[in-house]
Amino acid sequence: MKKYNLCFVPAYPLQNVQLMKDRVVFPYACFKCFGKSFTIVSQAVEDYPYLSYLDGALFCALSCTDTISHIHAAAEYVAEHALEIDLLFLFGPRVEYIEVAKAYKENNSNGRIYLKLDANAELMNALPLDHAPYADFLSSCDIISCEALLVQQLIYHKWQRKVEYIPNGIYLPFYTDALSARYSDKENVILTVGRLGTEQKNSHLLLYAFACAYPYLKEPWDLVMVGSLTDEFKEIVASFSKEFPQIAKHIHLTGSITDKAGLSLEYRRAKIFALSSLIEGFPNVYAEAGVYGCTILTTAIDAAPDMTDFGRLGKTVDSFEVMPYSKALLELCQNQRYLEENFSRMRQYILQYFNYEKSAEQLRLLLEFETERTEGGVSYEHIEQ
Amino acid sequence: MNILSNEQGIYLENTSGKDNILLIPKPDYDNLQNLTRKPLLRSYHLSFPSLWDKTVSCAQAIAGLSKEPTVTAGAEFIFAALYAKLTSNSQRKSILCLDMPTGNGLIEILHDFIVFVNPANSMMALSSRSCGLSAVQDRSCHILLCCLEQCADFSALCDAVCKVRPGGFLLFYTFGQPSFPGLSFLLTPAKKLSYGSFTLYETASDTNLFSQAAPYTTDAKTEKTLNDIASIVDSLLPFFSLSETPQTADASLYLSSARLLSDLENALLSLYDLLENTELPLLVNRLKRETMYCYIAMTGGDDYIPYENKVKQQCAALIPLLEQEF
Repeated sequence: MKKYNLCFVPAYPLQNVQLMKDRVVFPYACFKCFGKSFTIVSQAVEDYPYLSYLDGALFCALSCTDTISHIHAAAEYVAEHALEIDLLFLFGPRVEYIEVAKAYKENNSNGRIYLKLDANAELMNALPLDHAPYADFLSSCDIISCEALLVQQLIYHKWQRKVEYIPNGIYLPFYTDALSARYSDKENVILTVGRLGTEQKNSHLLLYAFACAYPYLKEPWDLVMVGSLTDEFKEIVASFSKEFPQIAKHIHLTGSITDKAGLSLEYRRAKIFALSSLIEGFPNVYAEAGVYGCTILTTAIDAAPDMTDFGRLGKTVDSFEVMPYSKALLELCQNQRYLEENFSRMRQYILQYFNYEKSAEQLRLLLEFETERTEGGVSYEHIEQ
Repeated sequence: MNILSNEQGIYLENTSGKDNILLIPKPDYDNLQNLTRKPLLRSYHLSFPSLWDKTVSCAQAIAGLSKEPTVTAGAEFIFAALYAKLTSNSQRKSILCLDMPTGNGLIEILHDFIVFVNPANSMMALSSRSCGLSAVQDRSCHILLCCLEQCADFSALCDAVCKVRPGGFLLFYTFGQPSFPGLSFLLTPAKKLSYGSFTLYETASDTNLFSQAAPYTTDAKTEKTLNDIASIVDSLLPFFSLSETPQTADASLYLSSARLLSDLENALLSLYDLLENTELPLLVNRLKRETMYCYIAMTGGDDYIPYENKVKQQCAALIPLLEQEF
């Protein structure tokens, strides 16, 4: 099996927390699967304690100045080290990458670029496909993947090019305790994890939906909200606590939980994982929740069919109104049997399709096919008639 | 750059002191090369311009389009070449313009002249990026006029060459170097006319030229891809028949099939604009992914049955769609 020297260049300077997100964890899983080396190239903007989880990965801190931006320095790095990189990972279809991709291909024509789109339909519809340097950048990417089936369908029709489906998942070695999770450990807990109160996360929908459902619950349930809070959301919560003091006792705002063990405990005891986002690519937290057997309740984001296996493993609420979301939440809470049966089904689904070790194998095969195609296979140029 | 006309013809004025360049000689009545239905030099009804009046006015209008001498000279050469072909006989003519720049007024003047010579004449201005060429019959046009710099696709250029009937004319022009290396079969035998960076290539169409262009046309490429698809689908038959068998655990079959599905997907995407069912490439991609997952599970010692079941389901759905399409 060919071993690759892998390099990941973020479009913007990397933050520590992103080291545990798809943009780094998936390349890292690839490194463990078929890599010889793995280098993360970024301007260093803070300490990176999470690097300790990434055994064998190298962090190359770019020297940036007022006149040399992160991306400019990254392009210079890539040009200089192009021949030492077999596979360049890019994250997001960002115009900033035009320079980086060009620098790489000009200096290593045999090198491969893998672009993980981190896509939602809205972003995909806004890309400047007719802009020549940008179109050239997309053409220079040997393998492109997106995270949701709906987005893949949209891109096929818009771009008329191959875009692989590689959803966000989990890297199991980081979740050694997940396989020992039992349904009997679970409590009547609804969990959400994210940057609470941001416009995108739409957290107040979940808060008020819980309040509306609460009086009708046969058993007491708690809502646990993990993540940093915006000032606006703090005000919303304060006002909510005054309005519904009895229900507020059942709402727990933990703040951000940075240690994996602490977060695992929350997943382990939650029965329902709730997402109320207005828009999302593919939430990183989904597969984490799934591997602990949480049933998913989500708004109709692009990845909702993937996350619920078209409704088999959870519920999707088509509206962003409180009452429909509350009704769906109540239905799930009242159906303990479904939640219990779903525990194993959900975990099996995650291990089958949202497992970065398998996705890494998938990418390795795709690279193999691509190499065969370009090094002697049939070339199918696009035919315009 | 000025245009001069006198009893001898229309000239491009040479400001560098050299001789003026004769663009179009004034026709004679006894010139049997000029048999259009239009009054040649003088109209009996004075309110209607003669062919010669119109030719002069068009040449002057073209001169007013640009202050750049090379551009003007190039446009006048194109006009002069067209004039000669359009007025050579009274047959109606179909002119195909490929990748002619629009917005500078030249196309409008040429069109005005073309339909003046014979209202039954037609002119089509198409882009090599458009699908318009597929609507034009092979060997149906009399003249092809193509701006090589603007032409984005060699196949489209060969398509256009095949649209010209034997005995017709091909006019290629460029303000720089010809863009495709494969053009030599078209340009080498052509008559060349240059002014500064501008070059006009003029060649007659014949069956030999047609047969040289034919292998590079879109139709030829499509046919080749269709043959490839047929061959890939043939190779996939053992895989497709999985849907009828209870269980198979041959990892190598899954790997080779995923590879073939990848090729099939490429081939289908290359024909995307022609597909009736545009979901086909995506469906093949999804089957390929499931097949890869099945292979990964088999070789990794995992339970592959759930993947295999999905592969079978997806195969069963895809096969009739492929049959329907091809």
